[in-house]
Amino acid sequence: MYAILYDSSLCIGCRACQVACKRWNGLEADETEGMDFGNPQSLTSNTWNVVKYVWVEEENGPKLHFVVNRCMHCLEPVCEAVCPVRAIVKDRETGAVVTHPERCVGCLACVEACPFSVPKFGRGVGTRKCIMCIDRLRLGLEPACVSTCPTGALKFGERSEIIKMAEERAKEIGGYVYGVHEAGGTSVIMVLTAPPEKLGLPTPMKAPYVKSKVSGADTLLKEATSMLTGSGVGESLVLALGAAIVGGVIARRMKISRKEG
Amino acid sequence: MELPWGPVIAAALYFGGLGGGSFIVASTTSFISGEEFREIMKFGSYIGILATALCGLCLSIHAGHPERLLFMYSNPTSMITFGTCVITAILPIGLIYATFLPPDSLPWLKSLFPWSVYVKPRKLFELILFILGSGLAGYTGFVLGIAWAEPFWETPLITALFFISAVSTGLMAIGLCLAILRLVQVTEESQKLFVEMMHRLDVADGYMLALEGGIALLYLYVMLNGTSGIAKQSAQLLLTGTLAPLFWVGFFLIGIIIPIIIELFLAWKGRTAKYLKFYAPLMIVASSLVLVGAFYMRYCFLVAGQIPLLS
Amino acid sequence: MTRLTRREFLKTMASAGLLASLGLSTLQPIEVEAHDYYWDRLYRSSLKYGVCGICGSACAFKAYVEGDSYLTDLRGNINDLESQGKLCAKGNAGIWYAYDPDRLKYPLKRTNPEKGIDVDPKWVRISWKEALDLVANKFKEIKEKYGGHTIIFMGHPPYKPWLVRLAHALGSPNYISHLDTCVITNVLVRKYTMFTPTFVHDVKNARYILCFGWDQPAKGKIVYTHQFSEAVKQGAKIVVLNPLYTTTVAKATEWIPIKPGTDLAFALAMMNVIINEGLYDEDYVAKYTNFKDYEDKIVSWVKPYTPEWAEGITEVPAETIRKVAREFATIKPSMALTHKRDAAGPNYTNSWKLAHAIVILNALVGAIDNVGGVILPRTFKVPDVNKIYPPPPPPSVKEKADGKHLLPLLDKLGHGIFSTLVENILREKPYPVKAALICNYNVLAFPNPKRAVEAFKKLEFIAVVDILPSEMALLADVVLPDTTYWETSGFSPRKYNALYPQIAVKDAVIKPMYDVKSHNWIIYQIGKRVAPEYFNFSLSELKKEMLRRAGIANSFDELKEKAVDGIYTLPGASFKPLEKLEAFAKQGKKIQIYAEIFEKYGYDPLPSWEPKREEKSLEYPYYLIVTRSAVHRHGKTTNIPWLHEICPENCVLIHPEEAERLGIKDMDWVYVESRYGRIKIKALRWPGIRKDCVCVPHGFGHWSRFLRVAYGWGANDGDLIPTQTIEDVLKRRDPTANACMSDVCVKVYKA
Repeated sequence: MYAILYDSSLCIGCRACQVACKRWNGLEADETEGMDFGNPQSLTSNTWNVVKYVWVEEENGPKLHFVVNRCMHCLEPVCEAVCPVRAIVKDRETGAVVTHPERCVGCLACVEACPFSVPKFGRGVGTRKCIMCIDRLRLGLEPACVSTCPTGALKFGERSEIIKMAEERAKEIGGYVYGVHEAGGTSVIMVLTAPPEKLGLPTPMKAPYVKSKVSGADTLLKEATSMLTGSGVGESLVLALGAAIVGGVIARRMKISRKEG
Repeated sequence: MELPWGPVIAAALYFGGLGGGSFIVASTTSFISGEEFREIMKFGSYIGILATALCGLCLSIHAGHPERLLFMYSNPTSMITFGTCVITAILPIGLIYATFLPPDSLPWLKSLFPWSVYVKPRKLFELILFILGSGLAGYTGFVLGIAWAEPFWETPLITALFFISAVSTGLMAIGLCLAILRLVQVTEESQKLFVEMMHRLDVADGYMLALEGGIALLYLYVMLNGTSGIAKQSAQLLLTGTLAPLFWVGFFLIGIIIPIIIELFLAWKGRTAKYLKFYAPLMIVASSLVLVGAFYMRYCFLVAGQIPLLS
Repeated sequence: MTRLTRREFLKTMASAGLLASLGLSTLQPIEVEAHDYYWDRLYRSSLKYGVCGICGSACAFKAYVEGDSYLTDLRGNINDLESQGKLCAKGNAGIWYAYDPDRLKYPLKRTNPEKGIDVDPKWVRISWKEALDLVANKFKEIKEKYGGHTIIFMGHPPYKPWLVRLAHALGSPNYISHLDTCVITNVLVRKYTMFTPTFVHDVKNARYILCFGWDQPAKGKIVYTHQFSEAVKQGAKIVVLNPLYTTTVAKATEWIPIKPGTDLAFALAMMNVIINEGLYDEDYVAKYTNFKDYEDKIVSWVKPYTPEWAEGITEVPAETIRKVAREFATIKPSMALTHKRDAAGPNYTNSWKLAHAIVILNALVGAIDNVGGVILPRTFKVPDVNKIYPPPPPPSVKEKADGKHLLPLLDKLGHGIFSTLVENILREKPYPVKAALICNYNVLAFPNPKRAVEAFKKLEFIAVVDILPSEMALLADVVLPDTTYWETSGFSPRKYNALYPQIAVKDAVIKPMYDVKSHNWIIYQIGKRVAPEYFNFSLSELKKEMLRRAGIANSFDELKEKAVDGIYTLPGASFKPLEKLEAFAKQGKKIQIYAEIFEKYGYDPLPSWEPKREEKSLEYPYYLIVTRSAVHRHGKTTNIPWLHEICPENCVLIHPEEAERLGIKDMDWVYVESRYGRIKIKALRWPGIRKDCVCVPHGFGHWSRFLRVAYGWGANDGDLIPTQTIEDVLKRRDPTANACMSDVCVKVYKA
């Protein structure tokens, strides 16, 4: 199981990784405006990796940080669980979550479900996203972004080793590690120079959204009931409602039958 | 800003709910009151098939690749696969069920389906369709739960809300058909029957709308006081934000308050001699408002969940 | 009847079951296989070696090509000193130079006699023979009528030997390059004070890096990026003097937002501290520099430049200056960095003095030619065409069209001058210019491009060699399509990281597309027609001779064999610190802290304080800073979709408080106006900039409609910058004729 390490402290925001991805995957350019401090503004079906320049207010003034938006290749991908046509599949050997746009029907379930807001639909091409260059991995190469990164901010290797490197580096610079537990763990581990929320990264829960091979109803309920006061209230409410409906309908009927004698 | 799931999905959920709800009402009526309210079952089945087909059509329009339909069954862990199975199961089964209830005005259809006189097989279908219909009606709610990134939808209350709305729209859609047909009834006896049927639907729907309104408010209360900031934003959008007019007027006023008032009036005084002639027209008004309001409800909840994440 | 119904029922169930099983059959497991994606073409591709030509880094790369021209994969060459296995965003997108549908494909002739901005030349396609004959005949005609000196030849420094040969063959002394807008300050100053210009900096081994606006990580320059991140990882102290907060600042330990154009004062104050407190490296200074010979003069000269004095000018606290000076001198190895268009580039009237001051600072701490310092390049000495085949005699006309004959130090180097050329053409001094051969230069690069267009309109005949239908090509009478770096073969000595002599071998990675020819061949063919006696060798013979006389190989094929994976390194060569300085010291040559040659020609031998030309005023309250996007190479790459997508236009960067005061929000249209011109541009709030500065990145504002991606996007900072006359240059006693490309103040207001 492989992983990609992104070290924001070494990243200089040069966009070599962003353009290498376009080159290797033969992707088209999107329409944009403005300057290059994070263009295109979000991932699209043609842009699978975007480098962002983020200003963070710190004690001695604003500081510029770099971060990438890209598919995190979750260990338990939600997109794979919800795709009805199996157009997104995780390769359990390498860890890459791979798209098959020729099967995509455009239901946008993955677009809605992803906790990192990664997959994006494009008319005519389907839903596409980073596939960890699975074709390069099969040929014994590293992903295109990793092989071109000039500062060594991107590295590739066994997930356990990458996590070790990330934690060491984070301790060195007083940074934050992102991706080890998020959404149950991902195959993209980031060392960040500022807290993830400040860099615009989503902060999903630190447990998998897809626990079992069923639709995760128990997870749903647990997550939901955490919003109500105390657990178990949610389930009781549903049961109560169900009973109310049935009771109401039957009561109505009973009344009439009595009338009819 | 283009929402991934927009009005077409709202329409799909709406029609799905309508279809499921119609079958639920048809089946329940058959089990409890037998052949007397055959009209309810008849219209229930027709509306059920039509609405489910429209639901499927809306989903195809949204998707844009109908030729890949067969792929839709590939993933047992996906709720959308579940939904596709339910819809594709309901259509043929519902069609066969409808053949048990051909319209009286077309006797040649009756001869085409000679089995329509048998009640027991029909009851079997009704049982199956009750289960499938409930599945479809609930599905329109809990399918939104796959979007783990949108905590606004992560609650069993959405299943409850959409399920009750589905039953309510089913009741009122049948009621609408009956009301229109009542106006063309010739005999005094059949007129009375129609009013009786509409009355049952009317009362049932009264409960449903009250429940629906209550659950919707509870839902938003829960979201406002929950742990998720994004869900709170969505709830605020509906209560006081940009979607507030659609929610309060389009859904609450048009879909809950006014219909309940009309329904209460109809249940209380509607069958008295004085107001009897207004029964059908008022029923038409009430049912239309409910049907419109239910669409707004689904649209509001669908859009509210997505907007905070896009900004 | 019942039985029939049951049968019917069973039939329905059976067909339903069939349908279900059909659906279930789609539940087959999805295998992810390499041939799902079509890049298994890599197996069918052949390996080619190339050298990137987008920027001066000239990174060597390995390309995998299927068939004649389908590029399947691209990676930096790991054996190369420059790229070390990596490529930047521009390099990754570089294949678009070749594949761009807007590219010039065949020779073109102008049919619309009218020339101007956004005027369609109404090109017709002509054959190569016709085009070259036309150019040659026109040149001969103009030589007859007005004299060969009225023809000017313009091209980047690598084209210099060819253009000089052709120019001299026609009797013209006019080879003109762009260096006054680019790097002449560092080139000239380093040539005369430390023997040679150099771009080689041992960043990764430095522990204290003082950047005078140096910003190469923000330009994605491969040769510096990995070294820089190495230094960051090793915990080097990086101090950046820059009014703008850039990527380099984001990685630095300290940001000093110095007032623009005052870095010279900072450097002088540093010298004051280092010399007075005796912090300089005595042995090194005595051995390799002429400090000791002029010690008294230097000490008394540096006396008034105290940190307190500098504080008043730079707006940097004196304590900070003192601290930086002490750290710079005591934390070893340390170096003061400058490249091209940073503070010591040709940005301000005093920039050439800052270039000298930086040489002095590096010399005082022993950073020149040393580990972690500014390295003198170790390269193969490859003779050019004029040293191999007898060149034409130098022309009798000594006056140069751009006036550099009046600047002897610059004339010796033979570089420049864009900014004075324009004025000279317009007023026909020292003589009118009638024709030009311009290779891969664009009017948009000139200060005040609109004025440059007016100047070029005066010429009777312009021949342009280019790869894109640029704004310069629009003014041409004949357009000759050039090859890109993908389509020519040859060899490229390593320059930016020349720690030891190394050459990169390049193949023609793809077959030349359409009907393009290399610029060397074009110049050669013109030369053959106008002066065959000086162009009577074969190009392949020339290549062989160049390699032979440099002691590299006896033929190009032999070089290719000797090269290891596309790179040929001098056997046994390694970086030996101070090797070159030792050799110079033995010859009695010393680093010119006190520049005797400057004194000889009437310039300041020591960089005395001099303020920049324009100070902010009530009318123009902002200093203009010019920079470049990391993903663009000036205006050349803005037509590439992948790079255009990342940065389609420039915006004026302005401090958020200033923006609020002026009522400007992000992406609002504003005017930026100097006393020389005005541009309409979008605004972007940038917290990391001095409140009295605004920044306009360069490379936009294309008006050539043939550049369908780049056309109409952004604005050209050049419209705000004035040209200069040669008299201006002489008056301010600037040996470099630097074009002062940022020495303007502007005002900003909503459109």
